[in-house]
Amino acid sequence: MNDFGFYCLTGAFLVSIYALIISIAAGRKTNGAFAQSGENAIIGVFVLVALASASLISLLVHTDFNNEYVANYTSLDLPMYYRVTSFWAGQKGSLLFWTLILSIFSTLVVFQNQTKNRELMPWVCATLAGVELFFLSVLTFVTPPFQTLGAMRPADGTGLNPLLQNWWMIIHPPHLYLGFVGFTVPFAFGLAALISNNLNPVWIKTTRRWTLVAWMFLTIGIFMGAHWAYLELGWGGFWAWDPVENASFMPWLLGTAFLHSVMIQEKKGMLKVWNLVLIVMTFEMCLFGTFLTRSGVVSSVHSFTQSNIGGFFITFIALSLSVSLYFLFKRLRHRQLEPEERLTSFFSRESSFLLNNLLFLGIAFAVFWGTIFPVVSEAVRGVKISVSIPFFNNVTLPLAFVLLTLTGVCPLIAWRKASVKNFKRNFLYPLVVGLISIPVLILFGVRTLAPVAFFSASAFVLTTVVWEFWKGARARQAGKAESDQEEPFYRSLYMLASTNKRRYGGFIIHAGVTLVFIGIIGSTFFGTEQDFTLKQGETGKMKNYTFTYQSFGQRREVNKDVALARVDLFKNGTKLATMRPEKHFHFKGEQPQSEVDILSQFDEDFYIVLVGWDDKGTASFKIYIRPLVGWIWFGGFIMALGTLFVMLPNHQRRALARTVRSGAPVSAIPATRPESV
Amino acid sequence: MRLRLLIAAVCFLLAGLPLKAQQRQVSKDEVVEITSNLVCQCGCGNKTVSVCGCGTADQVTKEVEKMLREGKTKDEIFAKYVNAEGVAVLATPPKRGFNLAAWLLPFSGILVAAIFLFAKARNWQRSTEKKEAALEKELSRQQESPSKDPYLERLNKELEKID
Repeated sequence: MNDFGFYCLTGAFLVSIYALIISIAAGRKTNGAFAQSGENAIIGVFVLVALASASLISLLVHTDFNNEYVANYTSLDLPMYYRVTSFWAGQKGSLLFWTLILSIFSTLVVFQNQTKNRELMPWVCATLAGVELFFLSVLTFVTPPFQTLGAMRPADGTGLNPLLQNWWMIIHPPHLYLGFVGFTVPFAFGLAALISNNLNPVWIKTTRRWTLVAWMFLTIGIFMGAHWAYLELGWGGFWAWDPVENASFMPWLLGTAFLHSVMIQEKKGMLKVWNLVLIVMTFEMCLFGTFLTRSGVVSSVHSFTQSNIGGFFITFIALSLSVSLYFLFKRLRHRQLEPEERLTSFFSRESSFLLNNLLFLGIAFAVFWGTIFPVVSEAVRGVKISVSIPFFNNVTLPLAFVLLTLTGVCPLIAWRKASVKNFKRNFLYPLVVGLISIPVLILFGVRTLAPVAFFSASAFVLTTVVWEFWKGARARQAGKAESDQEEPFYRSLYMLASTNKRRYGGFIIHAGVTLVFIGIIGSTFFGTEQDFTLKQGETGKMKNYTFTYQSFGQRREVNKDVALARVDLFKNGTKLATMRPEKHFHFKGEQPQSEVDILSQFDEDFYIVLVGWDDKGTASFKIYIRPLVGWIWFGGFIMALGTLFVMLPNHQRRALARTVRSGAPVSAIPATRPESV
Repeated sequence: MRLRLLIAAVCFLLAGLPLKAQQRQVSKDEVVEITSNLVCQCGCGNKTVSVCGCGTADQVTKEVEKMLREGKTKDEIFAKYVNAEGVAVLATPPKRGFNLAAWLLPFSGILVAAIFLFAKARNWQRSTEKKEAALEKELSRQQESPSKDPYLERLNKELEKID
């Protein structure tokens, strides 16, 4: 199986070279046969990479310790599902996984565009093949996953890092990678548009759904990673501005800016250059993120590797950036990216989107700079320094506040030029609610500036969302009533949203974002923690919780020893739950792992960690009370749901297409509001 | 013998009094203010002592609390850790010299971008206004003196001839 995997990977490497060369030739000579051959080669790469991946999974499942990767990431006592997920646990496997997803996406692009975008496709294939070639080169020459140990073959493997033996770690990396790789498709189309000089918005329309899919997976991946950190690292937090966390956050920020600014190009024909710059930067940041995670260049708790792939990644990032910038400047020099319209007023949706982009980029740059500054400092002055949580909080918090406020303003401010009437109609009530929330918050004891500012901004944004749904549904209801077609409010609401999924899906996402902000601020500013050492039967008290340490037990599992305490938890005298915090001692692990127990409630989480115990029946616990943490996960869920809603097929548009195809008059289609931003 | 012991005990207690008087009450916030600016050296990444739940963090927290009780200032405590572990123990780069770049660059970058964007947007706005004004002027000119249009003039003349 090792040899088979090796030959498949080498074959994929060679075929990707062919795909790149033939696709470039097809683009230069506008040769249809070459283009077809390039597309076939892309499919060929997929088949070979899929076979190589299947080989590695088979080796992992069968714990063939002759393979170096298998020996490093599995062991005989590792459960079967973790053996499979070890595929993306280490550097070699995860790079193969990256390549596998990329080859799947590339093949989908080929099938999707067999009858459309024919001028773009050779260059799209060339770009995708170029990225595939890079990853396959790294896999072939630098980090080969099919390296054998021969006589050095161990009797048992090292085993999977205990931190990764968690359900969230099974699904978190694939989501993140789907997001990272997904942005390669809009990048490929953007670059193809630049190279082929087809600069109409077709590339944006074609890749809109791809961008949304990538963004959604990256969003889910980030939330899953945060949830994993909350559950597994036993510190009561979810985000530590760790380099690897930042690696996923930076492309997300740039991708979000891109998602917003493409709307301006679609609607107004503006920001053409900007959108190309943004998608190039997003893609480069995805590569940088992979590099950061996998190279271990900046030390991180999540960086489960240290290796020599850094130079290759930096070279490829520089190369792809240079190619993109070369064609961008070429088109700029020939004035081929001139906007169709110009900004009319500073008080308009266009300018609010510009400001939104500036903030997204500003935060991305601040995070980037903070992440690489220790490396810069060491390189320039030879002094190792740290850039940790307080730096990122201080720098990003003010920018995030303005961004949150803009979340309420951007979708409602008028295009071209906002009038006083427009302001009054859309923002009066939300503004009043936002302002009223300030004294209410102070009255309830919230007296720190940042929480007051963020909570009142959240109230403002949520009111704009609710107000917009309310106004729209009421208007529809009134319209129906006028034409004697009475409609209940909930139906009007449903019809309103479903006939304009993009607009109302966007509002749902914004509501999710606001809930996330409320959760982050609540848990960061109002969290408390305390250490307790209790004898069996003894009770501790924290805020309005009391908890009694009942018993201690130990058990042996297949790959670890488990120590656990049983603690009865009461709130205001009523029993809420029996908590079971555990400590795991993996036979293959060096450090014991805390398995925390959490009681999640609407307003706060009760989070208990078993720290230690002795033979006299005493145990120590660390208890965290984290307000509003649940809102973060719920907000993330709403964001994903909103994105799915935006991506749902448009029935009206499909009906229109069907009618056009059947030759019936278009007037047969019922008129609906046009899709707007 | 008893007297000697009694005198020794009294002396011991008296000697301890000023020590006791030197120790002050320390609030949790004071401790957190310091531990949230120290990076935990346990190897768990980038976490500060205040949030890292490991044994090293607990030990450092107790040390900080003790030093505060003994009357040490914030700067003295930071200096002690910097001497022992190097400047990397601080959670944020010190705001001086080269490290100032860490703080200034993000904000100055945003500021420069904002100024550039503002200038560009103002340019766009002015050119749009100019175009709109020119268009309006042309329209009003045409409305005011329709006869200046050569084709209209010719048409009028022809019509007059017919009349």
